[in-house]
Amino acid sequence: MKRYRDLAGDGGSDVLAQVAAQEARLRTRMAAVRRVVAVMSGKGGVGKSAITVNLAAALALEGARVGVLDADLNGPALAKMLGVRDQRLRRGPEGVLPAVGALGIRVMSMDLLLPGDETPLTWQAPTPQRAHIWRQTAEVSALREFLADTAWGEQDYLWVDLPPGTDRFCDLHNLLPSPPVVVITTIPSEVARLVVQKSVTVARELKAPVAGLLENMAGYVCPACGVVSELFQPGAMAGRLAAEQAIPHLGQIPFDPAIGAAADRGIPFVVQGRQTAAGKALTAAAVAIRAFTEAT
Amino acid sequence: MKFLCMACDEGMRLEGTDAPDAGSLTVVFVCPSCGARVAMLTNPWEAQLVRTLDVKLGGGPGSPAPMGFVRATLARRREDLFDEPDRGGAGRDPSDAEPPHERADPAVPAQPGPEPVPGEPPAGGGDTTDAGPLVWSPEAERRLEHVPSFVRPMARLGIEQFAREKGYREITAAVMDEMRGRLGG
Repeated sequence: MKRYRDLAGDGGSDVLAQVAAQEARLRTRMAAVRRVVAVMSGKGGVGKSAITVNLAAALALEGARVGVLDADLNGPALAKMLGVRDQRLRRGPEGVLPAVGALGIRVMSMDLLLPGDETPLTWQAPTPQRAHIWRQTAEVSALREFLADTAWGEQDYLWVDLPPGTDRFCDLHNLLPSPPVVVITTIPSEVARLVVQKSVTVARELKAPVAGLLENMAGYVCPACGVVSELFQPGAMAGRLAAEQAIPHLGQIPFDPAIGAAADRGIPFVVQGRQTAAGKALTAAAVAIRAFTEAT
Repeated sequence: MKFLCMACDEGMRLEGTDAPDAGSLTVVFVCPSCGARVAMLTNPWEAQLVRTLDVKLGGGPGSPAPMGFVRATLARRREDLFDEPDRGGAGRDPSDAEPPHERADPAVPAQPGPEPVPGEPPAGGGDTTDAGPLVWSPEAERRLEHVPSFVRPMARLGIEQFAREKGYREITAAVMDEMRGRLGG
């Protein structure tokens, strides 16, 4: 009796060809994007989304064509941070037209697809109690469509804001035709350091080029006197971690309440705060990442 | 998944599929040698698994609609999602999209008052702290393209700042002219 591999094809559905067609669509779309930069951190609450927005904006201010993809499907924040939540997605001849935020930054986020502020991301399922079985697969399919079906156009950089953890980075890596450049964010705490090391390991194992480690909330600058106070543990923790892991240290971003306020207004902080300590650090990090992408 | 006709030791061919019935798929295969037919009846979980992978038993369309999976599978989504095709031609820039529509969400308050008219002060005075989204008209975008690329982001920023200070929601050629007049250009 013949076995599975003795039979050519699957009788007519040609599922493998369907999967190949999906991959081809994504490859074609990404051919117009010079570099994909994934911002990740094993730890939540380190300000990853704000950093993504401001790194992207810093390069847009330098004249780069920039898009941002919010890969945090369950906690999307980029549409708010870039002031595009009231824009409606439309179909165009080349795909779904992304929202356009400040500085002409193209934005795609699950937030633009959900009906209201209070609506969580849920997928259709035979029974709601069993929806978790398919959730991960559904999210990867959605991420693939965000990448492949958004009419990004010609972009110098597509920034991808990843949720906490390393699993979504693996998904992104598996989808893309070539590994994304990785920016790892952390804060000066031992807990964050412990978790962030896993991100470095995953990126390294998947042979993704790591542009470096960026430390957020590294001290608080007193707006009155300019003295920097420690918010977390003192010392150059990220610098040590970067040295241990043999990856570039992209700098330290001091905590500045204006970053959060700008995000609430939908304007990248670096637009108006470029000359502040945090603005200079973000711009310097963006320039370093650009140099890294041009060198690799 | 493949089906084998054990009598003929031949792979069976897909004959057809029925529309999902209460979450179940019916897929019929036929043996090319003896004509024997079998039907595969999936339970809803199996059908959901296939659907989640975004593949179709019986073959998919040649050119699927963009974001067809998300559109079909999100349990809750905006009512008007992707409903209205863009009216522009091929290669149209997303910036040329019409002014954004308010999302159909009662939790998000509508913008109060009439839209300010370019060249006229907004009703109630301009709110220089308003940092809401601005829309660029196609003509304004085209004019911005004439600005050298290395200063274009700053020019865009300056115009947007001017528009916000004036309380405008849309940047048009008239707004750009107004700003130029203000600068004495």
